[in-house]
Amino acid sequence: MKVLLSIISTFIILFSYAQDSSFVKGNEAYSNADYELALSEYSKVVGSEKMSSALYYNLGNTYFKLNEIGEAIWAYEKALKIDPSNENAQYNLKFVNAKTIDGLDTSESGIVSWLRINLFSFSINFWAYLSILFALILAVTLYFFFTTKNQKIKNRNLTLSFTSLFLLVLMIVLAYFNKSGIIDGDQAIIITEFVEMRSSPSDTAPSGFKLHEGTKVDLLRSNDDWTEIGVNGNTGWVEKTAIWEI
Amino acid sequence: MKRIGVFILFLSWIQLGFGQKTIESSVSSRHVGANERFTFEIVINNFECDVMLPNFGGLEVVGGPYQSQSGGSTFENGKSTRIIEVKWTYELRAKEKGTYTISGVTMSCNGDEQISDPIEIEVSEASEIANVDKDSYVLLSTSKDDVYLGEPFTVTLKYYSKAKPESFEQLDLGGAVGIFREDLKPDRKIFQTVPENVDGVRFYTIILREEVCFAESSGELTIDPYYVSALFRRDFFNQYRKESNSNSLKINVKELPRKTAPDFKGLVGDFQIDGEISKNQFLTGDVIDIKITISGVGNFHDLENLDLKIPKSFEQYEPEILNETVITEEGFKGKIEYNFVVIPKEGGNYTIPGYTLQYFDLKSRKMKTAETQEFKIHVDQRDGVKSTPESDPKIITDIQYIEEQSDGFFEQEDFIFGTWTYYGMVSSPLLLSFFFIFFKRKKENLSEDDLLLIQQKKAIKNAQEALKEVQQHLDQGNDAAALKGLQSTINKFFMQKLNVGLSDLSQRSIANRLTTENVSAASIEKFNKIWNAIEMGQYAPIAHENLVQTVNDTQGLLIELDKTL
Repeated sequence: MKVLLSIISTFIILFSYAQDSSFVKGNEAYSNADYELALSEYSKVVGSEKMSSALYYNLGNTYFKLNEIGEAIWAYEKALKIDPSNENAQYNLKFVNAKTIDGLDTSESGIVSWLRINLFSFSINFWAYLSILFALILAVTLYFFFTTKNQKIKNRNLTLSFTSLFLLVLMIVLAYFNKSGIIDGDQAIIITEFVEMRSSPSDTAPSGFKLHEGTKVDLLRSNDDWTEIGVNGNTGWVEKTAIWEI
Repeated sequence: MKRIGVFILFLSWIQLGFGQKTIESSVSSRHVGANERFTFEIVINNFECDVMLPNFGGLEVVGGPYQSQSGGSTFENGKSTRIIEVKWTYELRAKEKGTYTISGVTMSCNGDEQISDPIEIEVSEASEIANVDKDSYVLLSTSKDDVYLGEPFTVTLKYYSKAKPESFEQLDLGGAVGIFREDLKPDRKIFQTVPENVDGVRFYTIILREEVCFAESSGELTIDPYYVSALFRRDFFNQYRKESNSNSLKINVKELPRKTAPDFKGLVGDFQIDGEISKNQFLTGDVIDIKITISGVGNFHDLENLDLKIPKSFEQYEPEILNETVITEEGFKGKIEYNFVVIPKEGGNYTIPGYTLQYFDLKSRKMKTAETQEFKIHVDQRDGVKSTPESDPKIITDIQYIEEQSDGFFEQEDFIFGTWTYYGMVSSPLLLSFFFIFFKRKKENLSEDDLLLIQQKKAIKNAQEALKEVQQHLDQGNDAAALKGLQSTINKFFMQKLNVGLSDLSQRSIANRLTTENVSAASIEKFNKIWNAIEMGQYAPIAHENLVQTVNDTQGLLIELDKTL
């Protein structure tokens, strides 16, 4: 199934992308161990609102080399959001997570992870194009179903119509989740050394407990400078500057 | 409760007349035997004063303080006085013979202090009355009083009573420093009463507790007396309580000959050890299960985690421990399984050395060694997995290198899902399909009138097409064919326009229909002229110019008629 989908994916890639010059410069700087320069070059690409799994993966490596553990975890998480099957990012994320104070392993496992890796590792518009294809098939089969007088062809087209309708809906759902999975940030990484979770959005509010750099948290809601986060069933407010959305 | 040094009482009280604040302390008995419990009471008659806890002078507090209060009123010489009495009760005992002094209790009332009298307690040896002469007593006995460190022995607490006790209210274990105790029957609910003759006197006996003990330090250890409180029934309405303290036990604990066993970790008893491995041939990344089972009888509770020597290149997880031991008079009996899970990361031949267990065997009174066999493992490199030799630890301890190429950069706008273009592309095939279906359905369902209307509308178009052909014939000089084509065109035009068959088509019938359809007389005349010209042409050759004129006239006439009809 994956091979088949990959073939279709290859056929329907309509856009081609050129290598970004800053990305190439960043790679060169990284290979020369000039990590500050590499960070600056990769940041230019990120600043231009361009994305790619490799970009964030390389950025994660650069942060790690600069001993910025929280930022490195953030970048690997971003890389995996775009391409959940990026094995290098999975490996490095696990490696860097083990270096955090809490030593958390946030890598997913089980059916959800399997689905993510197998369904959302194609090009960003793969499922959208497939849905258009199935809309076309549905249109043709419906036309023949309603216009033909041959009962045999009618039955065949009815089956095809239902199948393509089901697939069309499925593709739309997958396209939706693929896009929202990459675009919507509903989680974040703590990037400061530690942060106090407070009961309300104020410096003077009593603090519950400390979270350390690199911890992955769920974003619940926010106001001007504060965000309410959830981690392991606990909720609390932290300053926005302490977290980076993934 | 000992930590409560000061009672501060702020409760309000009502004194209607003259009342004096007093404090008194008292004991239930000033002459007691060692380990015998007695009570000490402090009574004050107000709520306003602070009371300082006394010094018990070496006596052990085994219960309390229990607080109680009572109130009442007296009427004397016309004055009513409300009296409130607050009482604290302690349960005390002395472990050894001697004289003990409980200091006076200090009560502080707004700067005034009152002190109760100190109380002296004479403690004699434990009751020297022979057990057989008592109504009831408790006997603590041991299976062995000379044991090795870690050797199990049992301690039994047995209640003897001449009257049959109804129930037991309380059982307090005596202190036992350096001894690990385990209740042999923790779930016991039924306590069987067995008659027994002691020096010719019949007693009811009840075993209240049996425990297995393990000495954990050497030397002479003491098990302090156990306290039992039993309830007896005098008659239907009356119950009474009897409190008893057992004797204490002295256990002599001998050191073990540790020097001969450097790896000895305190196991005493009789043990066997067994090791199993899931298989001997593996690929890198395979899971290897190693099971070490220690079975036997003895002080299993002192068994620590096994330290299996796993090769460094293996990934190792905490072992899963399955404890299947139960307590018996001989100690813990059964087995403990340690399931180790390790994963080889490198190919090669490895040996996991056998695990050695040293224990003191109680039967032979000697140190013994039990060990598992060593495990030889062959690990092959899994296909497609790059070997990472141990000599280059950097590869293992660092992150993966960056990616030189990127599959493709994209921006948020590059997602087509959710855009109007996308919705258009998904919906347009379906809309087109429905449009065509509708169109086709409509075409199939046309009535005869509709079809006639379409036919009539098409008549002029068909006629003009046909006249073009006629014109071509004329241009080629083929007059006969042009004439024939012209006649056929006119016939078809009227057949379609007037919806009549070829047989019904005559000059007269057409002219009549034209008249009824309100066609102008000029047009009808034009029609007659053309018709006649064509008819004439069939019998006699017609001049080319005339024929051209007739064709042009026909064209004009048909356009005129199409507008009217």
